[in-house]
Amino acid sequence: MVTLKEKTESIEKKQRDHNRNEDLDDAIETADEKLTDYNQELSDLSGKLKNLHHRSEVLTEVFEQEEVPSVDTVRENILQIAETNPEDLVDSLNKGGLDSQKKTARDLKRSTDDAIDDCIDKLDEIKKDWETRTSTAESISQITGDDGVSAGLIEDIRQFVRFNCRKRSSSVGELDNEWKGLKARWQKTQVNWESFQSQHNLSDETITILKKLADDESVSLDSTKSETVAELFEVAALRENLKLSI
Amino acid sequence: MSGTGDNRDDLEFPQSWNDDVVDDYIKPESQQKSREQFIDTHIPIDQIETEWLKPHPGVREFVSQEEFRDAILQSDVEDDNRIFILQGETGSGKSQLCQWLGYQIGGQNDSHGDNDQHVALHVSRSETRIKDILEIFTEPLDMDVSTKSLDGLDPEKVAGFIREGIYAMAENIQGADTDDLRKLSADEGSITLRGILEENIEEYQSVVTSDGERDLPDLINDRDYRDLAMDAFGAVRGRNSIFPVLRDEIHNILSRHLGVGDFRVKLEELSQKYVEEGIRPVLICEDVTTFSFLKQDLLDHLFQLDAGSLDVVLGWTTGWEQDNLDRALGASNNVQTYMEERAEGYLSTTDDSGRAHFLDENVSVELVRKYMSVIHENSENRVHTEQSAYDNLYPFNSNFIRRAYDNLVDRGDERRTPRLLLIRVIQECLNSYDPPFVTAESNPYLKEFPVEIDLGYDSVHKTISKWYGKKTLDGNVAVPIEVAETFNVDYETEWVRESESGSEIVYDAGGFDLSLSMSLDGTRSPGNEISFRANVDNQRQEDVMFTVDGEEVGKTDGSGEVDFVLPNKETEITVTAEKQSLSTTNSYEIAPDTLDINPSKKLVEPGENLRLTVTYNGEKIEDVELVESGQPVGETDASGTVVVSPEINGDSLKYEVEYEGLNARQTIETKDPAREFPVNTELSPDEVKRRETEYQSWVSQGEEYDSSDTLIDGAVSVLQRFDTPTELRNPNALSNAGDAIYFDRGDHIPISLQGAYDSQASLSAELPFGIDNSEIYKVLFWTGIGEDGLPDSSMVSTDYDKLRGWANDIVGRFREDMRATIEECLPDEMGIEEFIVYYRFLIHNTSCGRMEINDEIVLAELESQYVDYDSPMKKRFNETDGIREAYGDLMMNKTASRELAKSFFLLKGGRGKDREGWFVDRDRLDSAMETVRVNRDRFLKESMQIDTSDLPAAFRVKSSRSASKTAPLDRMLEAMRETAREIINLDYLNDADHVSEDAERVNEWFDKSLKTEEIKQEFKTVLDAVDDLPVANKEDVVEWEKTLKEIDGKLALNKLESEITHFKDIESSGSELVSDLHAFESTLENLLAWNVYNDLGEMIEEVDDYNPGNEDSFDKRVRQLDSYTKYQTCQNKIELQLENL
Repeated sequence: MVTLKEKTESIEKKQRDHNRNEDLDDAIETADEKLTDYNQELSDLSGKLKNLHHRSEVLTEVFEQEEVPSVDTVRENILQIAETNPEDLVDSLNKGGLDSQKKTARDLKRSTDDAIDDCIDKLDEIKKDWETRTSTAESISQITGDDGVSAGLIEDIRQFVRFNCRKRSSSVGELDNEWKGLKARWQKTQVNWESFQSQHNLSDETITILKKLADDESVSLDSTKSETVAELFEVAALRENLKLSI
Repeated sequence: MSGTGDNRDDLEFPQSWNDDVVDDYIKPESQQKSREQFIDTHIPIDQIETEWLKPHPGVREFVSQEEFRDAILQSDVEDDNRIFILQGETGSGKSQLCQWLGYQIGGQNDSHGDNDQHVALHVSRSETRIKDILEIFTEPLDMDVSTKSLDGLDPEKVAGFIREGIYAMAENIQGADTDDLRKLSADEGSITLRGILEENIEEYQSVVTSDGERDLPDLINDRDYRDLAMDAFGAVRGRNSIFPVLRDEIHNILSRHLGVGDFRVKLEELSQKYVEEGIRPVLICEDVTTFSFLKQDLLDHLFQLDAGSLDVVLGWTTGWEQDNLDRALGASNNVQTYMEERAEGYLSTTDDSGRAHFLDENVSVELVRKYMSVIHENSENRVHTEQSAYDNLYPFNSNFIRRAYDNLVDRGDERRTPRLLLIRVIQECLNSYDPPFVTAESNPYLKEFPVEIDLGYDSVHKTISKWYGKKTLDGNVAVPIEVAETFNVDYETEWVRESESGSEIVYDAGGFDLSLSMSLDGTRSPGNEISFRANVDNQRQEDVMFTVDGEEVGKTDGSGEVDFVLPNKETEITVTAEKQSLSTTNSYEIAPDTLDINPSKKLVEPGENLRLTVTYNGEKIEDVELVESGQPVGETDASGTVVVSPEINGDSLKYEVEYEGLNARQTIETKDPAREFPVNTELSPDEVKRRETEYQSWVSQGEEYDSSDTLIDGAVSVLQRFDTPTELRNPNALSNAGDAIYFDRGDHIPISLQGAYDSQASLSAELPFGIDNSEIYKVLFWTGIGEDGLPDSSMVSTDYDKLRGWANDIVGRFREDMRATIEECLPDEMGIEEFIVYYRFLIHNTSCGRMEINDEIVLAELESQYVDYDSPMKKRFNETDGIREAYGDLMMNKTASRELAKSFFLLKGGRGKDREGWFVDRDRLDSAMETVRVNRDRFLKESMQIDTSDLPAAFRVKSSRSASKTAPLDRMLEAMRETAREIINLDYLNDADHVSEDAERVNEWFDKSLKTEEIKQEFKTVLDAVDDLPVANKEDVVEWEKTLKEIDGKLALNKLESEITHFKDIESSGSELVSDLHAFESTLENLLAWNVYNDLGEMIEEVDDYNPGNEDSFDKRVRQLDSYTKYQTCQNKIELQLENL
């Protein structure tokens, strides 16, 4: 038979238990919030790494360039996160928070962004080089009246360097095959200089200059004989297409 | 007044006539009699009303038969047609007058010397065939006009002939469309012209050959045409266009066929012939109504005044011209104007109500006397009878004839005509084997009228007195002893009284209020001979002594008159008339210049017009103001006349005029049949008499009758006058406190009449028939007839004590019935008083939990806030629970039950509050309360069995008979029954479980060792925990906090202990359980300690149900988080990316 007093005491204990449980609930709730924030940072970082990985591979695998140096920096820093012990993280939560972890993750996101930017710069250079080369090829075609380099190939190359190589949906292997194909087609395309020389009765020297010009090299007028210049201008097609700079 | 022969088969009486003589003299048509018979029975027709009569000087309203004859004879041989229209009801003397004219004008019997050029052509009702008329027309001329008659022809062939003529000649018939006529005359469809004609011709032939009074039919009438048109056109059209054309053509074809040719041309020829012969024919057509299809031709000829030289008397039955004249005349404009322009006179033998002018009550007696006299003379049966006892009218007397004449009806309408009186009453009585009073009693041509003598007499006496009796001056009814002896009617010798006219049987009639009146007939100029006339009860009175200025003049004769020569000087005489106890006095001025007011009649009834003509020395004078009872009622016109429609509210009307310094007065006797009654009523006198007759028959024999409502209304009214009969309350009460029980059906006590009427109410007071009751019933009957209470006691003797005694008796029995009917529904030993006490107990038990039965619960008002806690009835039961409904119904009558208690238990109520000034009927209340105390539980059980299905819904509790706010008693009984059932059904296990549960809870933590402060502390601690823990709802916590605040002084812990003991093991039932439920709610409301412990218990129960639960560490719970799992996934992914990079 429990007396009222005894009953009251047991109720008081129940009250205390209840209050303790309520405090712990609060702490867990806070930890959950913090952990959720941190997970978001990691998730962002993971996305950026994927981006970097793709671009870096396009540069090295497809265009056969050197890896940009900043990628390596990223690689080193990331170890801090990848190698963290989850128990340490729980400990950090218990002790107050994940502020330092969050900072590390943010820094790493920034250095990853930098490395991505470096890769993009490199790709821009490649694009610029190929735009010049395809443009010259179009001019020579007109000089020689030869339709050796097809407009379709030029367009495909331009499409690849401008857009295709930047698409993250395309796998590196696919891009590599596509680029190799384009390059093979490009190399097979040659100007028929001999028939051009005999048709216009040009000297060998003039043909050499033209080949240089066609390869987009610059030719100095000073080093060029006046007969050669005269020859160049006698050919009506060259007169219209060559842009000589003094 | 008993033991006399009531069997009419035993009656034998001497016949002083032969049936064939009766039939010879009394005939429907005056022309059916011989000239001698006619003269023997002719009564001069001296009252023929004239609308106008051109040759006659002046504007007299009435002319005599001679004056009418003379007006007709004013013509010369060559004068154009002159027409006199004579209208009147059937049998009102038209034929008699025409016959008289026929005998008076022309021929060898001409009694009027200087008119030998006139000859009467009398066409009677039965001589209206073409052949008859032409024969009558040609007879004085010795001409032979051969015509064929329709009589002997084959109707089928004639009809076919006419039909074919119309069909074939349709194109040539003017005025109607050929197609329409062909359609109408085609032999197609179910109704054909041929069929109609055939039928009507057959009817015509049958009427012509019969002796009956039927009119000759038209060959086609309006109804025939409607049927024919409906069949031919599918609609009734052409009634005013095609029909007249068709009808004329039918007549034309038939006339040609009968050799009449053009009837009008023939009439013109005849008329011319008369002129040539120097004879002026007077065509007397008794009834043009009967002229059949020649009407139009004849009337056209007559009204085309210059077409002939005839005097014409044209009779027709009143009302005929309204429907038929325009059609017969073919006149499109106003027929009245048409006739006025052409007719010399327009006369009538009857007034608006169908009464023959010339035949008043006295003339009717004369008429019958004349007939009886010739019948006696011509009969071989000369049985000696004492004629004087019968006024020379044996087997009738003058009272008999007057009554018969006064009550003549024909198919419900009043029609006082000689023919009806003679044929339907006199001839019927004379031809019957039964005595005349028996035959008359069942004659459909006589209205019913009541007996005047005491109803205790045997019916034969009642009937004899009704027909032969005359009122005596002392207000009874006397019949000559010879009448009883002639008809072998037994009588008691003490009824016989000697009078001037011989031995009479005098029947007790309870007394009439009779008065004597006099009048002076003649011109009041000095030396002139005049006559005084005496009337009693509107009848001429014999043997009245007249005295002038103290000197006896003489007694009135059989016609109620006595002659007197006025003094030969200007003076004023004082005249007194006297007979037995009756007398009257008048004074008259005698002067050389006389101013007189001459009335058109001496006796006026309600609704009748009176024409008063003022003459000065015999000359009519204009512009004289006539004054009636001090009020001017008009000025005389050019003919000296004022017409008044007087309002009748006295015995006589007094008229006065002043002219040339002279005064003339005229007193007109009035007869308002309604004033013969002892009450005021709007019912017609005939209706009152009919009802009285029916009532008299019921009171004697107890048979069903139509006007039983009258007696019932009277009974109701009389009962209401003495008491409130349908009311049940404390009979000893000195004043009417409270609401009584009423039997509220209709607005009065239901009355049944034994044998005649069953009120259909579940309770009613029955009035048994029987003449023993007639003294009371007579008062009831007249009260029922009247509009304002009891009858005039001078006319209907009324013993008020007896009447009250009767009313008390009826009411007493009715109330006993009321009580018995109600108590039949109640448990044994529960009377109405116990019912009231028990109802009041139930109200207090259910609303307050009270168990005692005392004055207060019975009589005191239940306070509007009768408990200071939530009623368990409302708190512990749902609205849909039976007990809630029963309780609601019970309480609905809480006021009614208290008012009822007041009306049954108070001797006198008071106005003050708290029953101040009340006098309680101690014995009645104490007895009822004691019975209820003793039987309380049994009443509860037996109340469940109350069955109100036989209790009339009319029982209602209300403050007065007319109060509109009522409580139906059956609903009260039902409310009591339902409440009893619900209380019996209450069960402590189900209905008091909250009580025991609460008591258990309180008991569980109740600790006697704890003091108030300690209890408070414990309460606070537990409340604090409950407040922290997610266990109780807010409202509960607020309640508990309130309880905590209330713990202020010391808690009544001893009381608590005893209450716990009481409620913990509650096992009561019935009213005790109801009481316990109330006590419990009271404890909850008022015992704080109970609430403290109850709340503690509730709080502890809440906390007991709660478990704080989860005891895991922080780390463990983090690892259980979803976010932690997600973190691990992210980390692994990055690790993988690092490897690939």
